[in-house]
Amino acid sequence: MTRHAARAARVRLWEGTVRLVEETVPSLLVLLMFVVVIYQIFMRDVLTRPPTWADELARYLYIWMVFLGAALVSRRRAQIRMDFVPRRLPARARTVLLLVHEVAILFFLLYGLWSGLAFFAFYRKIPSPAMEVPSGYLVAAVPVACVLLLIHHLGQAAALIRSLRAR
Amino acid sequence: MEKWILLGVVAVGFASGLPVAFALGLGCAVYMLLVGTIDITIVAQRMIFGIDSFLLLAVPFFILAAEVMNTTGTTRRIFQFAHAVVGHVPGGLAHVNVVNSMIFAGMSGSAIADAAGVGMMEVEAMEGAGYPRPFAAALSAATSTIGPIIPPSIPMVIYGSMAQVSVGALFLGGVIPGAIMGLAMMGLVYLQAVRRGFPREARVTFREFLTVFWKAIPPLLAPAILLGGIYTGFFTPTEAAAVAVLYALVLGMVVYREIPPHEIPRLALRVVENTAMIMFIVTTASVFGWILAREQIPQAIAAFFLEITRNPVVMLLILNVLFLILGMFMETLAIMLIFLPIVIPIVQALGIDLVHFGVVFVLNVMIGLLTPPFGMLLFLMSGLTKLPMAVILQELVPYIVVLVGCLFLITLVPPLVMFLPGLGR
Repeated sequence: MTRHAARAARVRLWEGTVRLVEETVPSLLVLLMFVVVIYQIFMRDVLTRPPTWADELARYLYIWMVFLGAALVSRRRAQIRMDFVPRRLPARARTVLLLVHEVAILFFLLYGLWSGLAFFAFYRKIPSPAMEVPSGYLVAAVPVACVLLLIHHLGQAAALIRSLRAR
Repeated sequence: MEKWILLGVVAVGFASGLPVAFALGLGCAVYMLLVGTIDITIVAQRMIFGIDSFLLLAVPFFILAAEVMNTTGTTRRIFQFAHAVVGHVPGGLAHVNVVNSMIFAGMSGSAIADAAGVGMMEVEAMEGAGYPRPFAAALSAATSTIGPIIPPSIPMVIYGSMAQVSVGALFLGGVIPGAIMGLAMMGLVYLQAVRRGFPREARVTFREFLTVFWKAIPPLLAPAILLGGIYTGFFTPTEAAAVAVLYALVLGMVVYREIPPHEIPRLALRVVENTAMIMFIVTTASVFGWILAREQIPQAIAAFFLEITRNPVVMLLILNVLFLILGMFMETLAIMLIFLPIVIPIVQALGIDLVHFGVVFVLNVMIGLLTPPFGMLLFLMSGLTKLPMAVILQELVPYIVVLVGCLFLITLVPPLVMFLPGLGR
């Protein structure tokens, strides 16, 4: 295999992994959440045996869905923002502003990763109230999301730098 | 000192177009580093527990229910029904647009989703019948604001979780104001139709009406199931939302057979993206809220406002004007997440009912979706129709005036909001 083909294969593998983590998994989480809530209603109202774990499980699935989804939103550059200032800037100034934004975002994400890891280390063994699973399974969502977001925003910063150089 | 830097970073971030979630997060990170003595884990803690609420699960479910309804021919059935009901009035299709949005509002909880879902269809139908395109675009944007007033409503779910009030009561509180908005806009449409000679549609026969009505019954039932379930205490809002999804899925997959199973992943992914867009902001906003509370900023601002007036009506008017102005410049959710923690203590201190205020507040920020320079509905309709915003805005101004009129009406006449929620007490 040529170097070029090997590189293309790596890119495909990477893109496939990202889509699995940021698209397939959170989509499944949404559907699972739906099933859990419907199951909870059924057990409570029809069989009058409400499950103790359903509420907590649904919330935990939701939290993971939001954090993985946030990485997807960033990758698609769809984060909600008020962009009337950048839109009115000339192209080069806009690129510079967006690069400053990326640096600011990276700074926050590094702090978030630090905080997330510290919280994980402190909290991971504490059992959850209802399901009594280690809380690490929940609180890992923050550092995982921060890593994914760091990757996307580093990529977007690099793209901005390249476009500045090109001109 | 640190709190001013925090507020400065967030304000500059917002104004320069930094994504809302990151502007809040950046401000908080800078604040934490400057203060230095706060436990590092607070940021991650607040980010997680800020969205750890069963109530907030209603958000993806409402989005999913609307997506499923949109994928099926439900949207078309509602439109045909609205057409049969009001098509023959002068300005027929414009009235259809209003009624269509009112019915659609009963299934969807987001103004943006309404405009994205049915806005273009409405514009094309109206343009085909000879209406000016800018008028059609403006009307579709304006009528979309009914979406989160008539239940279900995503902003009301978020308000309910922040103000700790019953989402069921908020939902019921929105019914009459939503109807008022619809009727007021139809009044304006009628005046314009007569003056500008807008066409009317042929009156349908009773037989045709029955056929169309019969086809529209399933979607018309959706809000009844939702509200009935919450009102009787059978479901929580989140469960009602899940039941609405189930209902929409059964309709789409079993009754109409218009959703093939392989469409489900695509729908789920859209739900992920749309939910994460909203809720990721809630994660960092809850860190921000924690810092505001630590700095006792809400108390300071409340004291300042209570110094100005202690009259609840005057206070509501002041807050309305304030939020209308903010709505011109800020994104709706950002307004809610940042200013609600500050405003709620003021509202409570004056004995204003939080359900009344909630409905007033949500209607207020919906108007903010229409007002430039930052109006998401204006952006969206301009993008969809390829018309410049200024052109749409010209046609939109009278509708904004009417909606502001509705806002002040429900502000000054609380029973319009409180009557339905009060029935159950």
